[in-house]
Parts: sequence; structure tokens; C-alpha cells
Amino acid sequence: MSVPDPVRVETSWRRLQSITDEAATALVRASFSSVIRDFLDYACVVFDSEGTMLVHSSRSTPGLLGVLPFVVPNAMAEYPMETLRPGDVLILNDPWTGSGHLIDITVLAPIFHRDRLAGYVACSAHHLNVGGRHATIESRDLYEEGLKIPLTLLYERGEPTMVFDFLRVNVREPDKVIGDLRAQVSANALMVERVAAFMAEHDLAALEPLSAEITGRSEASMRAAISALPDGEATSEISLDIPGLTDPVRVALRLTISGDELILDYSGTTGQVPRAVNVTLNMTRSYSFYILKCLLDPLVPNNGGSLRPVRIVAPEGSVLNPYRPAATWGRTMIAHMLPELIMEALSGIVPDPFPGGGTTPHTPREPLPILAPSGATPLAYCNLVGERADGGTFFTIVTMHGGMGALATQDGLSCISFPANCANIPVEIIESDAPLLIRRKSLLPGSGGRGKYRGGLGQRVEIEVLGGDLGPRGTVLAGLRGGRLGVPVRGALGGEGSFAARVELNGTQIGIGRQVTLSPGDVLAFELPGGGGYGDPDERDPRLIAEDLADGLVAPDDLGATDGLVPTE
Amino acid sequence: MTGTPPRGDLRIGTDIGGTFTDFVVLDAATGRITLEKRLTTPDDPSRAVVDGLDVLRAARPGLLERTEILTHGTTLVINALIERTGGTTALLTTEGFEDVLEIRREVRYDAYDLELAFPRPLVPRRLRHGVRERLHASGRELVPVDADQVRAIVDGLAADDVESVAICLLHSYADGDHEREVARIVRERRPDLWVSLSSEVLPEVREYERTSTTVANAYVQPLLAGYLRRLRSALDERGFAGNFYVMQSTGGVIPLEVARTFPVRVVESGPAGGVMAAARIGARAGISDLLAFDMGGTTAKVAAVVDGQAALTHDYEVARTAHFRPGSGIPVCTPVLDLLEIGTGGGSIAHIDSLGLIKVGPRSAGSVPGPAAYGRGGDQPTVTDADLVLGHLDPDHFLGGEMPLRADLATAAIAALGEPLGLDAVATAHAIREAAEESMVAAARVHLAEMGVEPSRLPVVAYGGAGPVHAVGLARKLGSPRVLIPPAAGVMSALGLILAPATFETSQTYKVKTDRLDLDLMDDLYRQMEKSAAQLLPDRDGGGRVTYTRWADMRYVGQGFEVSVGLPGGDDWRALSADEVTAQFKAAYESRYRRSYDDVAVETMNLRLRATLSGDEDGALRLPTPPSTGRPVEEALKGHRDVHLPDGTARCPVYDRSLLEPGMTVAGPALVEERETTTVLDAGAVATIGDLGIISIDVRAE
Repeated sequence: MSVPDPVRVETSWRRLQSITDEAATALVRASFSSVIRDFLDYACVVFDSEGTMLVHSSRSTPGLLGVLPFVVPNAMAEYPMETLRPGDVLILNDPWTGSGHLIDITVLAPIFHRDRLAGYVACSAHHLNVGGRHATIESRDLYEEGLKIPLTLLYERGEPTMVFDFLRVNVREPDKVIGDLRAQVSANALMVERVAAFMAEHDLAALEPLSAEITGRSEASMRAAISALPDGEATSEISLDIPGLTDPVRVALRLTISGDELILDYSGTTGQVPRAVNVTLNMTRSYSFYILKCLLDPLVPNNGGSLRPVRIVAPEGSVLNPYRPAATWGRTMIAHMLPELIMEALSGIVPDPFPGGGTTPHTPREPLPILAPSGATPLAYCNLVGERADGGTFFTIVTMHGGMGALATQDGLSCISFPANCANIPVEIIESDAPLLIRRKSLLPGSGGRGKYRGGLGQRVEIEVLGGDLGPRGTVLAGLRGGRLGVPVRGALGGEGSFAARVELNGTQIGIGRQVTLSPGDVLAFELPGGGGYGDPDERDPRLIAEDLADGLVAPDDLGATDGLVPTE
Repeated sequence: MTGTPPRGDLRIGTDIGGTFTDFVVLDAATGRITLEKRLTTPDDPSRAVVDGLDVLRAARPGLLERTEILTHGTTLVINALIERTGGTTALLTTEGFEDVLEIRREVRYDAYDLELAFPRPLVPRRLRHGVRERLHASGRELVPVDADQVRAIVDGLAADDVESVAICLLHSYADGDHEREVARIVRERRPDLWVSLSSEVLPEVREYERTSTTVANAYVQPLLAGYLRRLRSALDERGFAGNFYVMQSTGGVIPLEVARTFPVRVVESGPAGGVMAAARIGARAGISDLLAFDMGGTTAKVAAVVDGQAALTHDYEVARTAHFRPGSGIPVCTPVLDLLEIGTGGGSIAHIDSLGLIKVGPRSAGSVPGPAAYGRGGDQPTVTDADLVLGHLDPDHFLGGEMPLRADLATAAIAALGEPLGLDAVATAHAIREAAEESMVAAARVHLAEMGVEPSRLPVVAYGGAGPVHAVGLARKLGSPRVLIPPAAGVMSALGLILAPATFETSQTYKVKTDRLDLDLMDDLYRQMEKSAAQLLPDRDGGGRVTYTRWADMRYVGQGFEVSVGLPGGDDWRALSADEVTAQFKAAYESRYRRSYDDVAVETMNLRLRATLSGDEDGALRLPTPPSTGRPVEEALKGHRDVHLPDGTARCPVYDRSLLEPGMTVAGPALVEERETTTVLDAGAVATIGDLGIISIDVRAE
């Protein structure tokens, strides 16, 4: 044999990876809205003909990780895929089949090689809107949330179908939505062409042997990582106040490590609720699996094999596995908390990185990089809609992030998306698109939880509605979700926490349960907490303390405080 | 700049690299080239330049007086940014946005790495000051500049020993008046400070990227300006009266004064020279589309050249924390030749990953301890060790024999890596070579794809110490048909400085839908740009030595990225119609994105112009070509050695490159050695020696 086998697998794997990355770049460059261009909420994926996912683009949001491997298997169960012909393109946005809320649209296309169906490509992307009620967690069921697109043909043999006509009359800003959809179709076309060329070049009759090899290796790697952990069982739970509901939502977890398998059992979690915060099973899997991948096996590219050693149990009809037609738009308010819950449970099983209260980790192997809770969790999201003075519609998303929790080895990052991974939309872009003025976007000194390593800092953002000819025609409707509301950020292993998030309208604290109507001159402000600290604050390196003081990241009188800058209510 | 500069007959290119400062002198009349090499003097890099020129002057009296153009390339700017040796810098920004540099874009560059880190901002928080002022996105003033507050801020800068000030106010890309007003106050009170305005450095929307770029400019300005001043005065003292240009990151040149104002424009000065040389070498071989491939000790760089031009990127970053991962560095968004840097060089270390696969890099053994074969205490297996084990390198001929390699140490390091996989040293070395080439190919493929370039039609021009060793393997994996090994592959950057035509690029915003395109107005705008660009070239009074190229950035209305569309100039402009411009855009769009649309409006965004000193373009510059004496190729044979090829071991001929003549043919498997590198020809590759001694390798020959 001329070349060792591991090399050929690696070569092919990288090639497919580069094809998805190339498609992701094409998607961004051909897109029509800043949701794809700046917010970066998308993924491009390749599957074999049996529906096994081989690779996805390196830039993909964690929310899609547990979703993508199931997109084609779910589609195969619903649609006669064998009837697909070259030039056919499928579309869907069903939260159960696809990625958890209507606003993510997935486009699928078959790969043909030697005149037979050899596999599939898919591109999922968050869109500006899909019509319906303006985005808000007030929605009580799916029907309020916009247009549902069943798994159906978007192009038939290269010709656009009626779906475009339905879309055009059902969504706001149809040019942008359809433009973005076309960019997805372009990204898929590129992948189809490249994968077929790859198969021809390597004289592959089918992708399945390669996908068996890739997923087998990824599975083995994940199993090895789980095996290295001690067997055991631990529980954790969190109670979330959801605006508009009288009772808090309880999310319960029992985490079991047994040999090379890991089980996450969410039995005991509250039943689905009449607010748009329900998490479909795909999404529950995404954020559960995502953090395990970060902790256990971050270097191996994700694919259908990595998930196999992890079993996720979520009771049917619960907020983590609701029945149709639950409303789901603001699912991240619950889903984003899952990594924290999992890390808490895991830290009850894996060894303390500082056994005996020492200052340096001296476990025989690398400790898991468990984070203190993050002020960035869950994502704080605000969408503002209305009419510009020129009569045009604007539809603007403002996302902002608190601080990330500290680790046993380093301070948390300030103002960064976690566990989501979406970029902010630049202030200058927001102000170019909408009659809004961002008055401030700055770090909140003292918001990082104290510790041997401190949490990252949170931020304050102020959004003003402009007046006069720069202002809107009429009022602006703001829909809010997420932000660390009602769940204070705690520290880890003696580290301290941060405050709960605040939302203010003209200086008065408000809740996020309802849409807010804003008039010219109104100011909506967000204060997002920092991350939790890790380890005893008294053990912090004096040089780091001095740097923080010099840069005004902490105020001198914070150093002696016991509970962050602003007390939790 | 007054009067007409003397028309000299010499050109000098000088490039400061990490280890050596290289010089190339070209006599335009005879095509004669003189080379010189000095050790770089890091404490004051201008010293090595002046010393080297003095040596050249001693050999050729009147050298500087006769020089028409001296073009300079330098790594000073990028090194200052990476090593953080720039001046103490303050940032004046819109109040409420002092933390833009630290908040960045709030996205993690690696979704799975919880321990990720970003570079610290170049300006610490205590030196970032908010100014009371505000513009609307339209450029309209909402709050005037509070001059008293600015004065107080400026007066406070002395306490922090600030040397340089970056001014970056929101929406200054739309109107720079507020920034200019703040700058006026700064200069009034502190004329000793350097000042960088974001509306001049990078007048583009997106505050984080613009601020980052402006701050980088301000940070390196004191250093670069001082250095260029010393160099210029040393040249003046020595009678130099020609044009002094600095190679900018785009491969064009800028006058010293412009480089001093916008140091970020020369950030990739040296590598740009290499790519320009590759483009010119390609042109001499009749090739206008190619892949420049530079592989050195720690990294490899690739860049695509299309239609004789290297593509540019506006998403450049320096000082990436995470081994070249995009998003982990400091954005410097001035146009840079679209070079992709990959952590795969001769010194890159091979390892086995958690899946039992052999991977190479991005960790490097550097020069100390270096590859195991250097015998300097390194025991990690590197790409160079694998090349030695396979017989691609001759242990007694490394750097012309000046640095003998230890094959025994290389074999031991490689064998130790392969043992757990049940592979012997040779099989492991093959795997390392494969993995290294494959990781370069994977990165290159994405990079080319981003530009919509099909790798299978691109010849590879390879240089750098390890480039020719891996070029054929890389080309085969990319599907490229051909490899060119240029002459003097070791001084390609300096060669590029004299081979690159003196070129300026300018642009002008012209945002209009194509159904309202005013072609006469466009022509006027282009003509104005032509006029001002010509002022920066020697011989600006003409003689028709300047040629102009026009193109436009266009997109569908609502998109955020453009596609470049070439436009005719001169008399051909009159035949142009708006429909034709639109049709050309759609064709360009479709080739990149597989589809185009008739129901979406198309708009222009920027008009771009390139002015080139012609005569530089048509091959008038001659490089020495070895004579063809008609000797048989066997006379260039210096011996044979065993080479481990993928399908077995063969006794391969080894040729001395300096004895190869145009017209000679060498069929692989074979090796061609020169002082700085070895060209590896596998079975199936056939090399022909061409014009200038370029080795042209047909990869697909059977």
C-alpha cells in the first residue's frame, strides 16, 4: 500500500470540510441581510445518501449542532427523497423537523454522481423574519409565529416553484428574505458541484464508506474522552422565571457517566408552556451536546458520529421536547441554560482542578475546562421594527452579550457570545438601517465576578429612537428576549457572582414579557452582567489586580465587595 | 516634489527581512542584475540598508545618483504590531464607545475552544478617551464637538507619555469634519504628537474594524516615520535624487510621504514583493493566472494571481493568537494582497492527534532548536526531517553544504512518531509529507474558492526554502497542471521590488443603480483619478509612459459584498452602455455564485483605477538568461541518490541547477539542487528549462 490509510481519510475529510467552508463564505458574500452577514447564524452541511452527516462548516452556530445531523434523516422520513432529480431543491422551516424555530430556514439539495443520488447538502440560516406576529415570547402557539414551510420543493429541475410567491406575500422585507434564501441555494449548488467533483477525482462510487470511517473515528474519540472520566451520577436543576407565566419553569438534569457512554436525562422538567420559549428536541440536543463537545473532544470536527455515545432523554410534552404547536421563537431563553446545568453536574463527578485547596491543578490529566456561569447566557436579543421617514420598513436586530465565566486557568472574556456564537451587528450598520441612535455601548466596570480568575465584564447598551426627519414614521415596536434576567450569575469554587440583567425604558426598569412601543426620544437600555469568578478572590495575582485597577475594569471599592457591583434583588 | 526628477538608468530594490536585508540592483539598459545581502540590524534597520548601499556604491561609483527608483520593502510594521514595540498611543473616540476595541464583534473564533484568548488591545483602556460629539449615519451633525473637553483630554495626554493619537469617531466614513476638528485641536496644543484619522486611514462603515485599523496605524507611526526619516536623509547625503517608494501590501508602491502617514498600508510589504515577483515570472513564461506558493521555515503562504494581478483582501488581521485562525487577531482592514498564511513550514512539527491521524503544525521547531536533523537538541519530527528521511534533501548540501544535516537524528525522531501506528520511518515520513501538503492544499483550496478561482487551471510558482521541495506534490493534490520554479527563489521579495511595475491604485465611491448610471460622469471621475495618480509617478509629464486600468465594484442592491467588473478605458469607453455594464456584472456574479437574477436591481459601489508606469509591463526589463550552448543535460548531472517515492525506492539523478540551460529537459523522478533549495520531481513530472532559467514542470506528463 502506497499511502497509509489514516492519511487518505484525513485528506478526504479536510477536502469535504473545505467545501463546506467555501460554501459558508459564498453564503455570506451573496447574502442580502445583516442577519447572515454580521450576525453569522448559519451552517453548511454534507450528508451521505443514507442521511449520515459527514461535515459542517467550521463557522456554524452551536444551536445548529444537534439539529443538523437529524435534518436529512427527518426529511427522509417525510419525503420521497428517491424522487429527487438534479436541479431539485427542498426547503423547510418546521421547528421539529428542522432547527427549532420558524425563523431558521433550511434548504436541502441532492448530490448526483454517476447518475445516482450520492448524498445531500443542506444550508440552514437565521432569517430576518418569516411574517406572523412580530417576534416576541408572548406568542402562545406556533400559528402566531409566522409562515410555516412544510418540506417541499423550492426549485424543481432548476425552475423556481410557487414557494417563492407564498414567501413574497407572507414575510416583511421580502427582497432581503428571498435574497438570503437565494444565497443559501447558491451555497448548496457550490457544495453539490464540489462534492461530485471530489467523488469523480477520487473515483469514489459512494460516500458511505468514507462517512463510516469519519463518523467511526469521531465516535471512538468521543467514547475515549468519556471513558477517561470517572463513572458516576450527578444532578442539577435550575428554576427560570418566564415573563407572563405564574410558575417558574424548572429544568432538571440527571447526568450519568457509565463506561464510554454519557446520559443526560431531563426527566422532571416542567411541561411545555404557552409562551414562545419551548425547546424542540433538536435544540435540546444541540446545546446539551455542544458543551460536551467543548469539554471532552473540542478538536475533532463534529459529525454524526460524535453524538452516538451521548444519550439525551427529554420527556415528551416538556419544555425540552414539546408537542406541536408549541411556540418556540425565544427557545434560547431555556436552551442556553443547558450548558451551565451540565457543567454544574459534571463538576460533581470530575475531580476538582485544585484538589486540597492548592493553587495549581495537579490531577494526572488535564482537568475539564469547566467555566463559571456566564453573564452572556442566555443571549440578549432585541428586535426593533417600524417604518422609516421615507416609508420603507426597517427590521433591526440588536444582540448584545454579557461576560463569560472564568476558568480554572484564566479570566473570563468580556462581552462575548456564549453558549451561542453570534456576532454583534455593528452600531454603524444599525444606525444606517434604522431611525435609531445607540447612545452608549460600553463595558460595565466591576461587573466581572471576583475570583482567583475574574469573570469577563458585561456591558451597558442604550438605544434611542430618533425624532424629526431622522426618526420613524409613527412608533417603533421592540420585541425582547433573553438576557440574564431573574437568574443571578454565580461564581465557581469560591469565586463570586455578578448581578442580574436589567432592562430600562427611560430609566425605569421593565420586564421583557411584552412587546414595547417606543416613540421618538424614548431610550431602551440594557445592562448585562459579567461572568462568574473562579476560585478564591484572595488568591488573585496582585499584578492582575493592578492591571484591572489601572484600566478601570474594577473600582477600588469593588475589591472588598462580596457580591459584584450591583446587588441581586 | 518639484521639478522633473532625473531620468536614471538604475533601479534598486531593498527588502528588510527577519534575518537578512537583501538588495537587487537592476541596470535597465543592460538588464544586468547585482545582488547583495547584509545581516539585518534590528536596533536600527536603516543601518543595514545604508551599509549595503555603501558596498554597492563602492563597486559602482555614482550608483545612487544614477538611480531612477529605489523601492523599499520592510517588515518593520508587522513586527512592531506582533512584538508590540510601537509607540504609546491614545484613542479619541465618540463618548460612550471607548470600549469598541475590547468588545470587538462579540463572537468566538472557535466555537469549541472554551479557553480561547484574544490579543490585548493596542491601546489600554486608560488611554481611550470619549469625546462629546455625534454624527448621524447620514453624516449630519447631531452634537457638535465639545472643543473645551477635547482640549482637556489632550492636555492630559502628557502625563501618560503618549506619542501618537488615533481619532476614530462614529460615522466619520460619512463625514470626516468632526475628526478633522478634533485633530486640529490636538495639533494646536501638541504639535509633537502623531495623529491618525479613521476617515483618512479607512473611511469605511463598521466601527470595530475601522477603529482597530486606525489604532494600528497610530501605534506604528512614530517608529516607521523615524526610520524612514533617517533612511531618507542618509540617501540624500549620498546624492540620491530619484523617487523613493515603499512597497505597500497591495503590491503597488507609494511615496515615502504616504507610507509615513499610513504605515498600515505597508504591513505586508515583503511578502507582497514575493508575490509580485511570482506574477512577473509567470508573465515571462506566458502565464497570467497562477498560484504563488512561498514555503519557508515556520509558515507557508499562498496567493492567487489572476489576469496578471494578485487578488486583494480587506479582511486582514495581524498577531492572531490562535495559530492563524481567522478572527483571533487584530483587524487591519487596509487592502492587502490576499495572502493566506498556513502554519506549515519546514520546521513544523508532526504529531498524532486523538484520532490516530498524523497531523503537521501549527507548532514549529523554529530555528532553535530547529528540526531534529539540525542536531541542535531538537527531537520533534518536522517536515524537514521527513524530507531528509525520504531522500529529498541531501544532508551534505543543505544551504550549499554550509549546514550539514543529521540524517540519523531525523530518522530516529520520525521513527518514534510512527511506532505507535505500526509505521516505519519511511512510511511515517510519507505520511508527514502527505499531511503537510494536504493541509496546505485544503487551506489553499478554501482561499482560492473565496476568490472564485478554480485550482485545477492554476500553475504553481514556488519559492522559499521549502517551496520547490513540496511544489510538485502540492500541485498534484490541487490538480494544477504545472509548476514554475523561478530563478533566485531565495531573494524573491527583493526581486519583486524591482520587477513590480510602479503602480498606484485609487478608488472613489460612486453608488448608483445601473438603470441610472451616468457614463459621462463616471468617465470624468476616472479621468480625475488618472490625473492625480499620474502625479505620483516619475516622469509625470508623460511621454505616454503611464497606462490606466479601470474597474468597478458592483453588487445586487441590498448585498454587503461586491464583485469586481473590469471596464474599458480611453476611446473604448464611448462604446460602453449601461446594459453592457450590468450584463458583465451578472456574468461575473454567476461564475462565482452559480446563479444570477433579473428581478433584483444592480448597483455600483466604488470605481477603482490602477495607474502603471508602462514600459515596466511589456517585458522591457531584462533579467539575465543563461546561454544555451546546446550541451546535453547529462553535463548538469552531479550524481545519484536513493529517494523514497510513494510507490517504492528509486535511484534518482541529481542535477545542479546552475548548470541547467534553456531547452534542457529533466524527467522525474529526479532532483534539482541549488544553494537555498531543492526541486523535487516525482515520477510523472517533466521539467523543462526555459527563458531566464525558469524551471517549468509539467505535472501531468505520463
